[in-house]
Amino acid sequence: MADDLFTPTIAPAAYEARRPPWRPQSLLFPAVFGGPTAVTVLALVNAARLGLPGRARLAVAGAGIAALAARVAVTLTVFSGSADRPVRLIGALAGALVWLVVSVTQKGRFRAYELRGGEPASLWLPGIAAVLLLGVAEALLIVLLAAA
Amino acid sequence: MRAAQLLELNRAEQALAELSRLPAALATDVAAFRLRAAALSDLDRWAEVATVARQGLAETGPDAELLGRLGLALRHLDEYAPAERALLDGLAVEPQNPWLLCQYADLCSAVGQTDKAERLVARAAALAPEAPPVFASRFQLAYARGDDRAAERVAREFLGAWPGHPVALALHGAAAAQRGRVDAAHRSFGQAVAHDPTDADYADAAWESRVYTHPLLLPLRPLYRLGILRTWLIAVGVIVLLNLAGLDLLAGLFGLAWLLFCVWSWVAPPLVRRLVRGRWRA
Repeated sequence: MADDLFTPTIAPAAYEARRPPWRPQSLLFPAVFGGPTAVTVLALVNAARLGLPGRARLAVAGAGIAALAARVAVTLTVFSGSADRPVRLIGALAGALVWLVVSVTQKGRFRAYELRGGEPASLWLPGIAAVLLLGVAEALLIVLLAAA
Repeated sequence: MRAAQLLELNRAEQALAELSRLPAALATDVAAFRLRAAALSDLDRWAEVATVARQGLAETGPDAELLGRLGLALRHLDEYAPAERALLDGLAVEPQNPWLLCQYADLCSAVGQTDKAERLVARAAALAPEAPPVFASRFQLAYARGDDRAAERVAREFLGAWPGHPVALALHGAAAAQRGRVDAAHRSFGQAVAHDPTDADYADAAWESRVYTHPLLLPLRPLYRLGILRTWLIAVGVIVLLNLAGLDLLAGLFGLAWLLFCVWSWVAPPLVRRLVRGRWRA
């Protein structure tokens, strides 16, 4: 019986051991606390660890850049008149939007990794570092742009 | 054979002991190799499963079940391409074997080839719609796709067709836990352990589910049911609305409560895990 279901499709080299990925759902925390830059950088590292194709990485990078631009634009234009601009809240929402793209592109690959018996890596230290470094850098950028 | 009955009763250790006492003429029978491989799979001793299956294949010639066991063992040993080779060899012997089709589907789910897995499961389901491996493979496929609702539905169907089947109960528990139904998860895992007290994974899952039913984690249940994003959006929405309505004091109090809730959601689960399980990490 000629049957394409019974032809091998698993390449030997495709599933070699990489560094364990983070749980994509956990990336919501750096997204909310750090903003779009933090979650985009972490998600791109995670995409490499999961061995995702280029399309999925481009989607995350594109969403990250778009969310950062949107955050800056909304903060500077829509709320330009008011004294206490909800800078943090807009940043958190922009990060959450990037996370939605991350969740859609990385959840399936991470589930397969779990089915192969893999354990997620801890996001605590990298997450806090990303929030402190990238989150603060992003906030500084917005402060500078607002002052200019 | 007594060993087969022992295996049926989930006494894999005793079945192995029984098999080791077989006379030499019977010990090299293909049925003896199948039972030994099945008992070792029950005990998750995958390296030995692979050895026994290869030995059996060398001594008795190609056999679909032993090739399937070899594929299953190699999948657990992270050797995916050789596992596929073994399963395809098995399917060449018995292309209509639902169990083998399910093994191959599970392998495809585990490497992320979900479309192929779906076609394999569909073929197995057409041959044996009510077989436990078919339900288990459908569950794994739904899980691999990230479709927790579908996984929950499959687990319910499985439990409906096979009430009291330990695998059905464990999958039902896993689906309930994924959807945040902590009580249902705990009940199902507890029953799975009652039906198969020797399985270490079920026992571990039952303990872990007991952590989340602890009264100290009662306030966190909406979080588990709704997920982090929706809970966060609701909380932020309420704070913003209260602010817009000019109820600044109320908004401040709600914000403080939300902050405490967040801190509790990080601090409490490890604490309760330590209380319940007597150690920090699961």
